[in-house]
Amino acid sequence: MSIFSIVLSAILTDNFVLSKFMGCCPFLGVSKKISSSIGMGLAVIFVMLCSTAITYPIHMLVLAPRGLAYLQTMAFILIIAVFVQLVEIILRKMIPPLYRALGVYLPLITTNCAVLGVTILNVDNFSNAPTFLEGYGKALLYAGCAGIGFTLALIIFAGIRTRMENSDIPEFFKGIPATLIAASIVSLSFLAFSGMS
Amino acid sequence: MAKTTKTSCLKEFTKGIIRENPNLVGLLGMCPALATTQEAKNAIGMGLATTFVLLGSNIVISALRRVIPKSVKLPAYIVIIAGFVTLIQFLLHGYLPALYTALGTFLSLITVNCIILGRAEIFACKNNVWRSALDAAGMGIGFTLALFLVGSIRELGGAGTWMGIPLTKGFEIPILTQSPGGFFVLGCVIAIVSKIARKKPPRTIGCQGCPMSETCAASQGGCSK
Amino acid sequence: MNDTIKAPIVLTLICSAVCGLLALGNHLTKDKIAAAESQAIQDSLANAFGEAEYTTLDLQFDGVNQLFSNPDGTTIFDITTSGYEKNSQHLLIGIDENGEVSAISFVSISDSPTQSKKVQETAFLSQFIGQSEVNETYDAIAGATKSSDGVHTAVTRALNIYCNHKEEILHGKDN
Repeated sequence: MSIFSIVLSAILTDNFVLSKFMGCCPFLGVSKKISSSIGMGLAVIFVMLCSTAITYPIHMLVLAPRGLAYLQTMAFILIIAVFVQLVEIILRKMIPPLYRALGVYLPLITTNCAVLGVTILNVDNFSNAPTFLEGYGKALLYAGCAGIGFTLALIIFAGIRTRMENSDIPEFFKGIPATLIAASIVSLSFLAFSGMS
Repeated sequence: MAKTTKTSCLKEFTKGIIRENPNLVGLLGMCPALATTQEAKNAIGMGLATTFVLLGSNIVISALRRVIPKSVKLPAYIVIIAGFVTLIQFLLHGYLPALYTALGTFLSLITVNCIILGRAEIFACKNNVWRSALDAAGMGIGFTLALFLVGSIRELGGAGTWMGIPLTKGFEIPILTQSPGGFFVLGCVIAIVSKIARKKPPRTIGCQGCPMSETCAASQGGCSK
Repeated sequence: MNDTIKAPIVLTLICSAVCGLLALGNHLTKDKIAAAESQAIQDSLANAFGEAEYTTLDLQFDGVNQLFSNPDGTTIFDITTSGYEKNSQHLLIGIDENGEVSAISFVSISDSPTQSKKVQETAFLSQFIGQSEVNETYDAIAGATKSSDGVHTAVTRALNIYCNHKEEILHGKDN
C-alpha cells in the first residue's frame, strides 16, 4: 500500500467508525459535545500510536518468528490495558491539566474496539513489508491516520447531535435510536468516498 | 455485605434474553452487532462464539473470584477472556473455516466486547459458578437473538435471501447490507424493542453497564460530558 | 505487603496457565487447520478443473501463493487479492498450454454478500476466459467495482507471470 493510499483509506474511505464499525461505543456515547469529542479523539490517537509502537515490534520480532502468532490477541490487549493504566498514572502525577482534559477518557479506551482493531490490522496488513522499518513506519502512519479518522467522525457527529438536541423526535426514537439513524446518514456520506482509490 | 433478594436460577437465565438483553436494552456490544450482521448465518455464528467466550470466562472468573486480588482484577480478567477468544479462534479455523473467514478481525475483537468484561465485573466476581454460568448463558443467548434479528432484517432487506435461501429477490435494497444500513436497522430495532417493552431507550450508553464504571473517572461526573 | 506480593504472582500464574492452555490448543488444532485449508483448495481445483492428480510446482513468485499443474498441461495459479477488503479474495486461475485463461474459480471470498455473489457469476468471469494477453481495460460490475478490480488484478498477475516465466514453469512441470 502506498503512503497516500494508507492516509486516504484510514481517514476517509475505510473510516474506522463509519465503515469498519470499530469504536462505536464511545462514538455513540461521548460525542455529545464537540469539546469532549476532541478530547476523546486526541486520547485515542495517542493510545493507537503508542500501542502500535509497542505491539508491532513484539509481533514481528518475538511472536511470529517463534510460531507464537496465536498469542497475539492476549499479548496485544494486555499491552494496551497496561499501557493505558501507566499513562493514566503518569499523567495524573506529572501533567495534571492534561490529565483533567484527557485522562477521563483513558479507561474507556481499553475496551475500545478501534484500538485493538488497529493493532491487529497493522499486523495483518504490514507484516510482509520488505523491511522491518518500512512496515513499522507504515503501521505507525496507519495508526495515526486511523485515530484522525476516528476523531473526524466523532467531531462531525458531535456537531450533528448538538443540533438534534432540540429536534422533534418520536418518543421511542429519542436517544440512542435517533443517534444511530443519524450515524447511518453520516456513514452514507462517507460511503461516497469509497469511489476514490 | 447486604444481599439483594435471591433471584431464582431460572430468572438468572431468562433475564438476559429479553428484559436485560445486553445488546438491545443494555446497549453493549454494538460493534459486532453492526459489523457481523450482513448475513443471518454470520450473525448467529458471531453470537454463539461470543456466548462460548462469555460462558467460559464467567465460569473461570467465578471459580477464581476469591483468589484474584483486587489490584490486578482487570488484567487478570482480560487475560482469561483473551484466552477463551483464542480458543474459539482455533476451533472455528479448524472446523468452520468459512465462518472464520467471514468474521475476520471481529473474532479477535470479542476480547473487548463490553458485555463479557461487564458481566465478569458485575456478576461473576460476586456469585458462585453455577449462577455465573446461567447468567452468561442467558446473556449470550439474548445477544445471539439480537444479532440474529438484525442480521435477518439486513439480509432479507438487503440481499433478498435468508440463511442463503432466496426469498425476497427483486425487492432488495442493497444499502442495507453496507455500513449505513447497519446503523439504520440497529437503531430501528432498538426503538421498536423499547416500544414493545414499554421502556424508554437510555439517552446515553449507560455507565452502569460499562465494565469500566468502577474505575472510570467519567462516571463520577456522568458519562455525558 | 501481602497483597503487593500476591498480586503479581497470581497474575503471572494466570498468564502462564492461559499460555499453556493455548499452546495445547494450538498443538491440537494446527493439523486440522492446515488440513481444512488444503481441502478447500483441493475442492476448488476439482470444481473448476475436474478431478485429477494435481502436482504442486516448486516455484515461488511474488503475489502468488503456489502453483499447481494438471496432467493435461494447465498451470493453475493460487492467488490472493484485495477486493473490497484487504486480501478478501482467494482464487485459482488456470492458464492452459496455449497461454490462455481456461478457468477462474474462487476458494473463498469475503466481500459483502451481494458483491461476492456478483463477481462469481459466469457472465462476469467469461470476459477473462480465453485471454492470453493482459488487458488494461475490462468491464467491471456496477456496484461491485472494487471486487471486480480484485479479480482483474489476479488475472493480470497470473498472465504476467506466465508470460515472463514460461520456461521455468514448463520446466518445473517436467521435473
